[in-house]
Amino acid sequence: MSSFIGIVHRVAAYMGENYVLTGGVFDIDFDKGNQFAAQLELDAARSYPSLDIFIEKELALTEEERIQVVSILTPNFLHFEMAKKLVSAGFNVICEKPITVTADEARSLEKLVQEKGVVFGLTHTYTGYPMIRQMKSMIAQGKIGRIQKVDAQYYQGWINPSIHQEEERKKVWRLNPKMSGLSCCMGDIGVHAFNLIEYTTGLEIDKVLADLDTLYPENELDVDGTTLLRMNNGSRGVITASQIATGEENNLSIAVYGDQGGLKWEQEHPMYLKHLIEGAPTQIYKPGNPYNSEFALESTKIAPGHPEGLFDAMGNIYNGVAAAIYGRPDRAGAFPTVHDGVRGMLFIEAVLSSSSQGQVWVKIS
Amino acid sequence: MASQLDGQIELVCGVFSSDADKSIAFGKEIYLNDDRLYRTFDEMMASEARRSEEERMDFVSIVTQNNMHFAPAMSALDHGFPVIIDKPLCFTMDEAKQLRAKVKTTGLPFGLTYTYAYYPMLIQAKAMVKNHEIGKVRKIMVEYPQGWLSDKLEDTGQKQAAWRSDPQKAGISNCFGDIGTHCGHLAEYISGLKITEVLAELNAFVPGRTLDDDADVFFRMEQQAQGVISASQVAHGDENNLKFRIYGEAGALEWSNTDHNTLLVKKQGAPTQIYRTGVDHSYLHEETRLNMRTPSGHPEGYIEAFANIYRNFSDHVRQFKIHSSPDLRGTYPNIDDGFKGMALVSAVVASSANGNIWTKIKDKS
Repeated sequence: MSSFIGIVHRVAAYMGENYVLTGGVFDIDFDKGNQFAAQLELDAARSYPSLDIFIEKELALTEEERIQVVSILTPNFLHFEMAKKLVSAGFNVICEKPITVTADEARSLEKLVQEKGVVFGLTHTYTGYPMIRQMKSMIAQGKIGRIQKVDAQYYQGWINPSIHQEEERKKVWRLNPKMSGLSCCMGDIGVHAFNLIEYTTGLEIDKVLADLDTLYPENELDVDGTTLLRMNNGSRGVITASQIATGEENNLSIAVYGDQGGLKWEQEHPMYLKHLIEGAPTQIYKPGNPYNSEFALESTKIAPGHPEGLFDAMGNIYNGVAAAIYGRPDRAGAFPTVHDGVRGMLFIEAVLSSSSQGQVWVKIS
Repeated sequence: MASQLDGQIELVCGVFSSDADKSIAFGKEIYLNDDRLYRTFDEMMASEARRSEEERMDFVSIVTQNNMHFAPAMSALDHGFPVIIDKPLCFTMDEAKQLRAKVKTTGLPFGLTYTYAYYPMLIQAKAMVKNHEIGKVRKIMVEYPQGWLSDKLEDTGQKQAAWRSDPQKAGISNCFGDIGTHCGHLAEYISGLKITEVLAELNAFVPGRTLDDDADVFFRMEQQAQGVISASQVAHGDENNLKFRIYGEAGALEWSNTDHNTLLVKKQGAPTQIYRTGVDHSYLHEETRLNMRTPSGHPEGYIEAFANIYRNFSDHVRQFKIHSSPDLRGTYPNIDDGFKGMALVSAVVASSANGNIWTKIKDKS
């Protein structure tokens, strides 16, 4: 829960004010898990050493008290076993992708979820971006006509520093088939591209022709791959994915072309959706504006022109204030103080005075 | 180079340096007739004027330092030659008045190279404002940061820096005279309104400079429009970052020199539109399309890429005739590249036709 993805899940869960983190199995090492729970001032009794104990103890509580939904944020190979146990016990589940290690496991899980009638969410995060939802809405409304080509790219470079030496390679769990499953690159990121294509277009990918590369014969899992696609409407597409695209960070992009126009989006610039129209200027759609679909508008929490990073910026200010209250070492600039407020008011007054006196220099005193 | 682009203009004579020997040497290098290489502009005007009307030069281009604009321009007009000249027009207001009077009495064409104004997308901007597409103009913002005079470059013997920072050669202003004038011209050119008054602060940030290297200017225009110009030559790291924005009652236009084939068209509550160059773009105004040479998606640099191939090829033809091998500058795609291209295409077509299988490229003839 203290990993990168753990923090993302926790902050995201708090955002809609629908969730309270109540308890869980926070680390494979019980001591570390307890430390984490203590840090967040959770009820120590609800930090559990294993999932089995978690289920046993939580089921013993009344329905009012019991944890309603569990997030599974473990390495891939644990997803299926944990999800199966939780769903069987009647818990709603939010699970990191890939859902399981094999398609058979995924199908059996789907069956179980249907039987138990629980809610099961998979965090294909990118589908949550407002402009991806706008893209889905526009395609459904026929804004680009009949789809005739899709192109999704997902380039990362983070495995490059580890791939060339065997010792370094061993440290990467995603390259270990026992933990990662059948695939590294396609399993970890290619599947995002796949999901975005089906999510935005509403089409299904019917068949694939793939060329995967492990870079070294002794490396078991793919770190790069290109996949040609045939869609169920007969159109063609391509997914190119790589974790050895040196220097790339998280460069996911998708372009969908119909017979009336195209739509393009890039994850590193998530607020811009480009609508290409034959013979007319390209249009840039941005979140929060009234021209967006209801679905996209519901998915936006802030006013147009305020990037999603605004939450981080505000969060940093709140953290700065908290640090000051707790008497932690003061870091200059951690939050704007009352003095910054005074300076701001002086500035405004001086500006008004300069203008009303006929544009003259006015001292800020 | 610009004068040659459309094949309408041929360089037939000239004075190419204030050093007469250098002037003549340069003329020889570019294959001009020996009897039309001149040592001074007076000599050139007099001598050209004596030639028959068929033979004599049609006009003069003046690209000297600011203090050397007035005399050659007057001389050219006196001898009956039209003039195209770099900005600023001349050195003092008095010279400007004399020149304007001379142009009026002679009736000769007189052009000034306010280059930026003739980017196709600024011609489009002017046409859109004229066509009331952004309504009555309210506000104009022009930024022009450059960084090349961040240090005291004039002390290193750099010629441009030396004359531009010398009041004897550059005149009363350096930064504003050189680049601020472009901003002012663009504001008037695109809005169609005159600047009526200004409130300015010029700075010479680098110690030892007598002329400005930075300028901020408020301006007021006809019809209650106003604006601001911020120009600088000490903006570290900025190359030639001219940016123009104009806001009217019904919309706004934004253009940047670093992405000059794009004009952004903005209206409150609607997606921003990306207007792009391209002779085939029927949504552009006719005057814009008449000022473009390439189809959409082909930036002006495309012509330069073509020119490199032609230049390197002609270099080789010249060397071939004297039985020497091509020099290092000059490769160009040759018969082998053409052959390989055909081999690639035939392999790709065969791979697809045979049901998407790996196909060897047969590039051995």
